[in-house]
Amino acid sequence: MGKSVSGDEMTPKEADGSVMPENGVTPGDEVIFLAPPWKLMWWKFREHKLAVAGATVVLIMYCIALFAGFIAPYGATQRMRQPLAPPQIPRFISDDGFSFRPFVYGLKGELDRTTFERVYVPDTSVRYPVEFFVRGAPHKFLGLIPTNLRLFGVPGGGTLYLMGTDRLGRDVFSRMVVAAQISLTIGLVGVFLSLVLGIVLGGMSGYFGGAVDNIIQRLIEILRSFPTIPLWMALAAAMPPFWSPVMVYFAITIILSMIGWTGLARVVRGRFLSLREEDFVIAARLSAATEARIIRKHLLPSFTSHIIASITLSIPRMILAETALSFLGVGMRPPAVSWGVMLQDAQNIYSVVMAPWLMLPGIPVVVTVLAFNFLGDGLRDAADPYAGLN
Amino acid sequence: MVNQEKNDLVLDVENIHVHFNTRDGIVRAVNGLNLKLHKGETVGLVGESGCGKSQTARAILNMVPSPGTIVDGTVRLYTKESPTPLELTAFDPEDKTIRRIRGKNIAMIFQEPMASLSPVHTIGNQIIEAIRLHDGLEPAAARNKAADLLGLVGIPDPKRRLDNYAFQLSGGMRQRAMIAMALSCDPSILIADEPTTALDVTIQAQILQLLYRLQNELGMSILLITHNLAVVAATAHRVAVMYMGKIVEETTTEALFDDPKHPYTIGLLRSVPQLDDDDQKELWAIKGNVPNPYATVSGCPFHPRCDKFMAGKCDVVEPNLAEVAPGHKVSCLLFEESGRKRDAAGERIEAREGEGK
Amino acid sequence: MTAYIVRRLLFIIPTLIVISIISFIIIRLPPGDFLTMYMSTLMEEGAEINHELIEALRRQYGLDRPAYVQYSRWIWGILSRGDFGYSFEWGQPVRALIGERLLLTMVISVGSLLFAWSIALPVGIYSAVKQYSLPDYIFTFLGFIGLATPNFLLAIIFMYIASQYFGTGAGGLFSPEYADAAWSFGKFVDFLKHLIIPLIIVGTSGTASLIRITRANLLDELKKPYVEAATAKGLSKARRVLKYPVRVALNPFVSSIGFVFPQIVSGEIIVSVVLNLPTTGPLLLRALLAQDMYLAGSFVLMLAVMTVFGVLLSDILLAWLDPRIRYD
Repeated sequence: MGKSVSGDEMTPKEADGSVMPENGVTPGDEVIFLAPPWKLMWWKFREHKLAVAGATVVLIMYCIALFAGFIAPYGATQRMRQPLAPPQIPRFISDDGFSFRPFVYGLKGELDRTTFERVYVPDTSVRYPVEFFVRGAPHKFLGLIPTNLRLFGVPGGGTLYLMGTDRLGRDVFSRMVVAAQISLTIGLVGVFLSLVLGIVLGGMSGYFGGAVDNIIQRLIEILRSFPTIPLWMALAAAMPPFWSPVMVYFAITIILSMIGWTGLARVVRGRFLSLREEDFVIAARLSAATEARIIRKHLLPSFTSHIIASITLSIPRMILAETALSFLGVGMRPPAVSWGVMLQDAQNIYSVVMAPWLMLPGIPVVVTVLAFNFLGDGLRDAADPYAGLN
Repeated sequence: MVNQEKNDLVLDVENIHVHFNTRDGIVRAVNGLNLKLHKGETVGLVGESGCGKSQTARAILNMVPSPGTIVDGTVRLYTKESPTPLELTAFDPEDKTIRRIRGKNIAMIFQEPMASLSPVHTIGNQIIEAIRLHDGLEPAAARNKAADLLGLVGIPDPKRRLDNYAFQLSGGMRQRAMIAMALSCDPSILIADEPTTALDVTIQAQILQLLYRLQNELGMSILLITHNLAVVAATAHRVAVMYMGKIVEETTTEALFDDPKHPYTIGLLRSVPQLDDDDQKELWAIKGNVPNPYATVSGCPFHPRCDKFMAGKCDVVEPNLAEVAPGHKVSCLLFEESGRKRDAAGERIEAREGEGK
Repeated sequence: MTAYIVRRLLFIIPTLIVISIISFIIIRLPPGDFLTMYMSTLMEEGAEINHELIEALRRQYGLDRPAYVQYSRWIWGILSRGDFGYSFEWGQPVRALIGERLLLTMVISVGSLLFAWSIALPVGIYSAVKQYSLPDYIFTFLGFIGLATPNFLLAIIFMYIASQYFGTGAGGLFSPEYADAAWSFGKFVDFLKHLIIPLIIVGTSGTASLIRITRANLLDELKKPYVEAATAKGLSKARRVLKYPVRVALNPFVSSIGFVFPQIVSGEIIVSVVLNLPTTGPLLLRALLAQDMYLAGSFVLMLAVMTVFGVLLSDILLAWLDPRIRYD
């Protein structure tokens, strides 16, 4: 992959009349000069501690989404009889001392005589040990295999609401885990669509130049000066109410990418134009390489790394947009569950004051967006492995 | 050649060491360098990229960029105003005294005039700033002086050019403006760091001529830093050749080109292509490469690349810069023997240092 | 400079046309024309249908004619009479509904931008000059958090804290006694007090990205030879940093309005829904949910137009700041 790239970088930029070699190549440097680009990128990426941490978090998040049914102790729409129950925190220490197996106390609902609201108090007389690999509500493992095996739970009539329950008595933690499926994938699908649009329009802009370039660039500028939220809101609100969640899901990805492509198109065009002028591309052209070979051997390798970095930075924006739309009630709609849909419960200040745990779905949003940003920053630095080498 | 009188020393750099503490180790950019600059003299400091010549210039002004520091050595500035020399290295880099020296007594011009001028301020603004900083002139007077300076460095229509931005000038004009800025307070020393490297060959010649003319008119001393031997041959009275942070040979320009002593200097001169060279002749090059900047080479720093390498000697003993002929100093073990024999004589020569050559 | 401004103004025209077309598409998006919607709502409510009014409206907006005719009538109505159409949900002309709300949205957006600037510039300069110092790390970390937290979440948290620990609501722009009162000095002071929290919430993400931009640009500029040249001239550290690199780094700072301002307007819309501010957001959302399309479309149109003019102003400011553009 692109050996000519490294060769090119080594060419000293001799000034006129100069007699001094500009580059000192030591045996240590030679290892760097001979390494293929992907290896250099990996070295550079590895140095970026935050990016590695970001990558790890992103990976864990997607694993959670993949095994959501198994990890969540309850079904996402399973209603328990205890609405707005507070979180039950697994404990190790009780009056009898320390126990290795975490347990939760039972939950007792009482009616407050003055406010007539239901309040919950822990019932310390009953203890339910938290067990692993328990039989719970049925779900489909990986969406395929029907099973009722779940990672953890409290068998024997107890409840385990790690993050409390919502107004309809659904377990917030289980919903959050299942919501990851929509929240995390909508960004991926949306970015994929934007990428297709971005590459087609950005590529056309860079390839044809002239009037085509001009029109597409102006269009991008116009779209970028639009405040996106009202536009997204308007488009999303036009979705007929009878659409199924799957249709809504794809409609939202299309809506997000219809405006989100501009950033990627700019990157594609910019890279296209700058690469066309690179010495190694000119050198390849002068050595009679075919256009196809130049694109395959020289342009694509130095292209993809930048594109991947920009994509990584676009995904969190899509996730935030979906969350915002669903939060406002014009995005995903129940019974589909995403973090934004869950946060809709927190829109009302009275329910937040009564049940602050309804704000918790905001945490995975912040964590995911942060992780993607760190990852993207690291990838962007690594995308150009020859910068700052000398 | 400029005739040198006694006590016309203006700058004395003694045993200066500049180290850069980086994550990967210490880079010894300048490693025990000695250099003297006399009134009205041009000294060429020649060396490959990364040999420490630019850092030497910054060390003189006590403005080595972070993470570099001057770890040892002294820089003394001799001025008319004070009988005792001013020790520049003794000050904090942000000290008021040293800031007053910069631009006033010692001015500096840089390699890339475009990048060295602010892109969003007019030329006039930047020159007037320098004038007012040191001379305390009224704005109008400073503006007149700035226009005079632009005229002095050969910029036509100087009054109008004051309101131009760097990007509106050609490369040569920009460097002229830089020079005008450097001259704004009549410095006694001008440090020119690769002043012509970024310019076209024809413009290079013009700028060098300008520097030569200004020196004659204003009587300042110039330290000309370059990697280009042709530039040195055209302008310098004396030349110091630098390798890995040290001076390996120092002599008059004529002596350097006629009778180079150090194998490195010889190598440099041989690798200059000549017009009358035979077409079949391959261009000569010094073998090997400049060592890794983090490395410390035992003995003579040049020994791994030297074609007169003496095993057991050059890689063990560190040579000293010693006078091998009047006014001709070399740091090489090939000459060390004779140098040592004439130790006594050498001292006498040392004492006469600064007298005519 | 004049040539640049003229060119920039000319470019506004196609932009406005595209914006108006997009807004018109939004109006037409729901299936069936809005009069059919209106009639079915009226029928559901059991109200009597005024067929004459319906017919008059149908003729006025050209609903029986092709789309381009409807578009040109709509645009002509706006340009000649300031007639944005009719809100069927409110039974009022759109113009009467959007005026003050748009103004308040812009006040909050511009205020948030100024807030973002006033925080981001000194913090960005400090972070760059003291790179890798503890405060730099703290600012960078806070910046990342600010960038990653959706501002509606921030709004919820603020509301929660306000009601939980201070016993007050954070919502609204006016105290109840001033809500419907005419503008007076007392109302103005009351308004300013209520403005602070929305400004912070809306401005946070913009502040975070502006700090990053300033820091990165200034770090680049600090390494430029002209800074060294200024040192060699004898300038003090404060003067050579503030006069040269900060001045150069100010340009990307100003040009960042181009993309920060639309983001801020977007943020204001969504935050105002949470904080229940009497600005565009809640009314726009309601109009969209009720498919009151002339109202919704007009909001989108006017928000976009205002944003475009905001960006235009920033471009002119940039040209005035940067001679490289001015003399282009």
